[in-house]
Amino acid sequence: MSALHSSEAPPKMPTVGFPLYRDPQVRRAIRDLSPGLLAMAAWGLVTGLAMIESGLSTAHAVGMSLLVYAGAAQLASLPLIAAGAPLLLIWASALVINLRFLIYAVSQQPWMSRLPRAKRLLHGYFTTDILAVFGAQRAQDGWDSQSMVRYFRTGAVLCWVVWQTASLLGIFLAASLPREEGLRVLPALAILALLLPMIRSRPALACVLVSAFASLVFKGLPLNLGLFLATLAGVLTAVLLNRKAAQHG
Amino acid sequence: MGDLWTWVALVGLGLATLVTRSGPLWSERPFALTEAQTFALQMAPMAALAAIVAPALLLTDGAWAATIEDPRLWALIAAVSARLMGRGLLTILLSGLVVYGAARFILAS
Repeated sequence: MSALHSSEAPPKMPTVGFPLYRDPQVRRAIRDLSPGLLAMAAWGLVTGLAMIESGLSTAHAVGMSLLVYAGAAQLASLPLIAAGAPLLLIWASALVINLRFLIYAVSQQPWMSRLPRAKRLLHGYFTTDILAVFGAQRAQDGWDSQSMVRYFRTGAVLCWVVWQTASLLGIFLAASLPREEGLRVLPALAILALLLPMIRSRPALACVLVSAFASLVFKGLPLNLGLFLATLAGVLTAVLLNRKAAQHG
Repeated sequence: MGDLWTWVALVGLGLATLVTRSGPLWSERPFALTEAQTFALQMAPMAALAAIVAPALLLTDGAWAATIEDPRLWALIAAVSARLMGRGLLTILLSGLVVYGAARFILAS
């Protein structure tokens, strides 16, 4: 009882019986993420549909959704899986597409550093684009690590539930409909729709154009090595252009 | 490709998710990326997506197929136009799909 009468700051952790929705960090996470979650639901549905349209079985599609939990990497690997590309190539391209998460993870490290390693890795797995972006904003607001962890956990649960529900809905919707020939283009168009808004600078545009062109030039190389060479060519172009711009600017 | 092969592929993809999201969290000591490293990490996903999507939209069985008779070309044009008009991801996808469907219908008749 003495804690109740002490002049210390009120405890930050909710005690038993404290309704979760009154927790300021939980509320803030819900408020921050709600608009993004709507788009995430739509995109999860599209990814679910695309997995079936690319030829995956329902079991594989459900497994992919639950195991991989990475929209862009999932979509990008669909044409490769459908073509029976070498496993190393499928994995490597997913790694490259996931690289942006390294940036997020590094930015999350300061407030996660107090957690034990197993928990840090577990939290990291549930990072999504919107959660990382808003989390970085809250960290910049100067939130302490306890608040950050609660904010992150709320967002992680929201994102996971929304994404998986939408994705599973898409899978079962597509699996229950007759195979529509016209929807076979869906995975490719979904990748395109993901890629185009990412292009926000001149080096990025050059990167995409060079890589796309190179992938067509190198299309005949064995083991889809063209995909690697093209990616490398695109990144190198962007890096060179960026360096040039930095020198002149 | 077989059932087991696909499962192996999926487990590997799950590991790719874990490694990129959690790899830097292995150590408890925070570290920073240089500006050049961050830039390259931002560019690489775009390059890989472009290298996957270009053959998927412009080739058929490895041969150039982007003619005005290929509905995928019209879908590509529609999607790029939507992007140039400043639209977001879902509108870009929908314009691509709608134009693809329309072009397919017109070209088939």
